[in-house]
Amino acid sequence: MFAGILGFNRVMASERESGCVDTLALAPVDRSAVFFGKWIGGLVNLLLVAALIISLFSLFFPISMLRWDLIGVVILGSAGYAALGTLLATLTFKSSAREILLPLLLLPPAFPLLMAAVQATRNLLEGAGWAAIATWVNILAACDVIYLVLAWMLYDRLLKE
Amino acid sequence: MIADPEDLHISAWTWPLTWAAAVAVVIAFLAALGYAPREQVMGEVQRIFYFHVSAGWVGGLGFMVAALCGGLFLRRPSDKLDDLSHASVEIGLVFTVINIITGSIWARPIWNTWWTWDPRLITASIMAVVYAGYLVLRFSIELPESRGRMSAGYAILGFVSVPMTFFSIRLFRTIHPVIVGASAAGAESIGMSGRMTGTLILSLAAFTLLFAALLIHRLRLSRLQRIVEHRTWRQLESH
Repeated sequence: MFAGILGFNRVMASERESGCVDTLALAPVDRSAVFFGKWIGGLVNLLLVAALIISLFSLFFPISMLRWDLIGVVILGSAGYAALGTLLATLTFKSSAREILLPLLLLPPAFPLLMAAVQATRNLLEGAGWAAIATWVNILAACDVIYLVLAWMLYDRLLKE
Repeated sequence: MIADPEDLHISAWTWPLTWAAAVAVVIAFLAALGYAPREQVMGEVQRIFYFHVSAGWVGGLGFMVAALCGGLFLRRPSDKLDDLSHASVEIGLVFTVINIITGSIWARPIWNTWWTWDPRLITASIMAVVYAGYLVLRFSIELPESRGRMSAGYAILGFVSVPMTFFSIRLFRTIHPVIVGASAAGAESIGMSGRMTGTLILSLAAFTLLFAALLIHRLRLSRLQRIVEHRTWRQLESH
């Protein structure tokens, strides 16, 4: 089960990496709007993959994953991941080695997010209540806020030509 | 041809700072070996602690300077800020690695292992990888203007890993000792005697001086590098 969740996070990673870089050559209109657009795009992308995986899991394993608390964790995790991915894709898009560089730069800062999401998911599936995963959910929420605010503040300056 | 100091961009601060740092580090070294008392439980190996903490401090300081310069750079780009940010990351990274290595040497007799997946060890190595990524990112962008901007943005983003490392031993269950401030319940803390605290402060000061000295040398190098780069561009243009 644990390996399955890890795998599911990896699927999200590759999805993110391929999804964002290609769209970044767009001309900036209003910069923070561009960021939020890309972020929502990335987020929807991640959530679609997550929805697919969750339904497949529920279908093939005798555990229902269609639970509100679990979906909450998935949304929180994906939101931070999408923000970080969008920001890093922007930071690397001038680089000559961006395809190699993006996963390299993305994974270390994503580690607290992945860790918290995996732990929260695991605890929930083992039948723990909301109180038991409060720490992990707090970390997820904190990462989301930090990455979103950072990306939002930096975006305007980064896209300047 | 013998180049004069003006050409080599040696500032009035370069040599005094270098000597001050050298003397301070030697004094701190002697204090850690001689002045500080032997720790009751851990014995002589505990003496590495003074340099371990100092190296960790310089790592955090370097990354903080890098993030601040990154922020200022994004407000108003200048070569100086870019160089300062770059130099701070390089020095900070070296000292973070020193911090991890000295920690490992200490952990071998104390924890009976070179390495364990403790929250502090994980966050510290993530921090090192994040800033190694900075150097790779910088190296891979050729256009100086966007190189500066992207590096500055990344230096700010990467700084998230610094408080994460600092607070990891205060928030999670860990076997890493907490020295400064309150620790989470169950974490081990070292009661330091007056001489130990004195030695620690001395070695923190010495390492901070060392950071400043290395920074000034690294900045000079960046300056010379830019001059060479500029000349190369001009030569390419004239052809």
